[in-house]
Amino acid sequence: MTTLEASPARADQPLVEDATRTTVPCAHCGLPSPVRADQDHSFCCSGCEAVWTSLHACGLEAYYELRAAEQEVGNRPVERVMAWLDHAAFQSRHVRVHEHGRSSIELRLDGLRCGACLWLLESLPRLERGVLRSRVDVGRAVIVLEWDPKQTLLSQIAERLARLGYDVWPIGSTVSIDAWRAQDRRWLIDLGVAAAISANVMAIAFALYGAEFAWMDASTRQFLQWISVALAALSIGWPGRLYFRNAIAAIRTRTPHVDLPIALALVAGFGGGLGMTIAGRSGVYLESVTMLVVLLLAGRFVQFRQQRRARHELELLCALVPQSAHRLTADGSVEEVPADAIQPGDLVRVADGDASPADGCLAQSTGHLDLQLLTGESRPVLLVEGDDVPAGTRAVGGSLLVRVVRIGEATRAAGMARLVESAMGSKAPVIEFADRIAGWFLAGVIVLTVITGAVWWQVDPDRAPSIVIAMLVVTCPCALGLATPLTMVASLGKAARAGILVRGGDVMERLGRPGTVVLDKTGTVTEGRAAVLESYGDARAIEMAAALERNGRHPMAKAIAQLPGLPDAAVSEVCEHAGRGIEGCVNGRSVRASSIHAVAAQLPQDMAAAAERFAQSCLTPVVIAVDDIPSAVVGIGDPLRTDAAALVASMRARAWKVVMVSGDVKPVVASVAARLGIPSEDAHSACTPEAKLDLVRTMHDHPLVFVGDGLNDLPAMAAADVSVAVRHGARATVDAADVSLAGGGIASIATLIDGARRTMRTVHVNFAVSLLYNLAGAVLAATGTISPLIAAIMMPLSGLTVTAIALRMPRFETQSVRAPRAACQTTSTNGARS
Amino acid sequence: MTLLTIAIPVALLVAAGAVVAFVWAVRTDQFEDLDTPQRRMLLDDPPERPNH
Repeated sequence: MTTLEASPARADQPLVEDATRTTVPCAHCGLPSPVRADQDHSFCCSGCEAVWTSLHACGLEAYYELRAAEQEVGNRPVERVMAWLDHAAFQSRHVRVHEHGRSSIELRLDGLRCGACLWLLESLPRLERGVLRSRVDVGRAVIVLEWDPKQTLLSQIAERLARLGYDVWPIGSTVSIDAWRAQDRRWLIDLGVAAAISANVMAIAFALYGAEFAWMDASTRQFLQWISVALAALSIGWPGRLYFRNAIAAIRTRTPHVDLPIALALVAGFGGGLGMTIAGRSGVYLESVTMLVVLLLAGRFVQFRQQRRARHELELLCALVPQSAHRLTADGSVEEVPADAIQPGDLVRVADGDASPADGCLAQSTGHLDLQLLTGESRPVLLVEGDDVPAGTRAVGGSLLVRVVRIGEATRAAGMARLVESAMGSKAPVIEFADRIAGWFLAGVIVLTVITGAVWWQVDPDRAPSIVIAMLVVTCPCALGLATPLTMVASLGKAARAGILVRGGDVMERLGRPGTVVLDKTGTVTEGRAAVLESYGDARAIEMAAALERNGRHPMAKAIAQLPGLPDAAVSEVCEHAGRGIEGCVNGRSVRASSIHAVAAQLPQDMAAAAERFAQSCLTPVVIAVDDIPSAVVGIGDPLRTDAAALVASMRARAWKVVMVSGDVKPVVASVAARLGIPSEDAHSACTPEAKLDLVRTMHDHPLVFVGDGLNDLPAMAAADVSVAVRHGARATVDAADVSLAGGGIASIATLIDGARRTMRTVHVNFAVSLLYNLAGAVLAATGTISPLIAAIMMPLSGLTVTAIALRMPRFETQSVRAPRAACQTTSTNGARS
Repeated sequence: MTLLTIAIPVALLVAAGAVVAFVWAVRTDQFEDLDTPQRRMLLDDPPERPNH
């Protein structure tokens, strides 16, 4: 028995030594190219060879690992019909009509990669007559098209984009796009106004500090103070109204809210300044009041942006159900209509590889369905007439005829989108440390200042004003306000360099202490594809089967086709039997690959034993017969990711609990859990998306991290404290997750957790430093040791200290990720030498 | 002092002008996309083709 490598036929391994006319994939681009006996690698052209050689010469061969996901050589459908884009129901929802009869739409783009794409897409008006304008937003992967409906149709433009290699699909209705954009603008304006006012009040405040040791007549001082009061009133009345609204709501409903102390502090600070000014005294604290408004608004704005993004991705989830359907008409012909136009009872045809546009039931005798998007189940399911075909699931190995039962909002996929939304909404937001502390800090400073002022008034009335000013200046909350955002920004940047993209600073706050990590099975700890993991019997028969299976479309066929095939094979008379196997002629000999059930009776003892062994380790046995004699058995399964066991071990070492959930059947889940060392009571099988969500909601060991890849994980991910999407996961999942792993394997989750712990430590150190600084300053000022001038010099110094601490923070350690990769490189170089 | 009573309101007016300009910029979507313009400026305008 030989254990074959799980990876697909590697482009850099020659498949055979003796043949000269066979083709292997080009080592650079993957196109078929001739085998060259004198070299280890083959190329389709000298250009590819030059690129390959120079990448390797510079040590940049990691490119070939990184691009694996993006490469789709030769399997992109070139022609597709998108007539449904022109349907009135679609256009009224998504298309804006402007004056002069122009129309415009925002579409989500897939396939956008670099500046060249941007250039090509924005040159669209030169390619397609009738397109007036084309603007791309690289950050959101959105294209805004403006066209003249009299000259061209939206479907023609979309088809042109598809031919160029870009898929487009609609994002939300024009109404929802407008509503979010208007809210975003309001936030930005509030923030800008607050910042402008704060800067002006600060400038005036510096003049007033100066008045304490240089001469300034009372009327000038009074004038400056009145201007500060007016500006501060504007600041807390306009951008700051948010805090008062929330505070009033909190009082009405008698629930505590962070905005309550903030609003009280703002009122107290402003009232104090106003009182002093009316009384004709010096000593106002308005610059800090206005600055507090800015800093807190900035934090809220970042949170809002995250929400808007999450919302944007949620609409993507709905977009995964196809927007068009192939409906069978009464006379038997097929017409393409928008998904909105189909009705329960209609018959629709779902082409091989396409997703069903609505919930329905199978209207033909049998067929295969890939439920992975909804259930995470890794194997295609055999359906018989009348079985459910949920919207969004894909036909495999042949087209399906489906009778529509539920459409639109009533489908299971739409229900899942609602679940995700409600889970997102119910998640308690992390109240940032700075938010919790700011109001109390300000209130404390004011109380302290009043006491100090009162005491000095009794002791030495002449010095009282300058001491109060020094006190207010030295306790300015700049450092306090800077501490968290600075550390977070520095830490997010460092995480990104380690290949971990973190959406926001709150992730770091949540990951600060050990909790539970929930791993999805299919696609997360496993690679989420079928591959031949074990084989037994005649190697030549397997090569022949691999050549034969290149013609098959079933996922099992694809797994066998990835093995090295017989070179120079002449394959003919291929016949695929749904659910049973494939047969055909290879080099004149009849070859058949079939499921164990079809041939169980004819199997020799040793092969039956091998098949039994494969089945016990949860692999699907496939029997290969040459000239009707069973010659080999292969076991097909979903290979584990190489770093999955390392992740489980390292999480355990950090006192985290590891749990696995899967929609897959119990034996498969149990076998994977056993190999990873996860106790069987923590391996949950046969979980629907709803069950995963319930599981996450009932777990108590917070923080709860959910690591997943598929759409079926989305509701649970939305409810988890932190969601992590693995590389190559479904697009909506990757985009909606708090963290996505761009490079490296899933073991980098341990890197993230270590980094988060260090980040939070730095945040706390920074808080401690700035609080200590303010406290020491306050003591010095209260005792009359420092003058307002010294205080004004000390104020920016505290900010500098905090900045230095934040930037000095240790990097995200990447050793745990690099180690296995270095090992791989060693073995591959050895392999090349031998 | 008399100088300040003129200079400070003038300064505030200038600041108000900046705020108005900012509000205008937000309303006309100047802050909507911060990633693309930096790439777009690197692309040369193609020469105009005749008959098109």
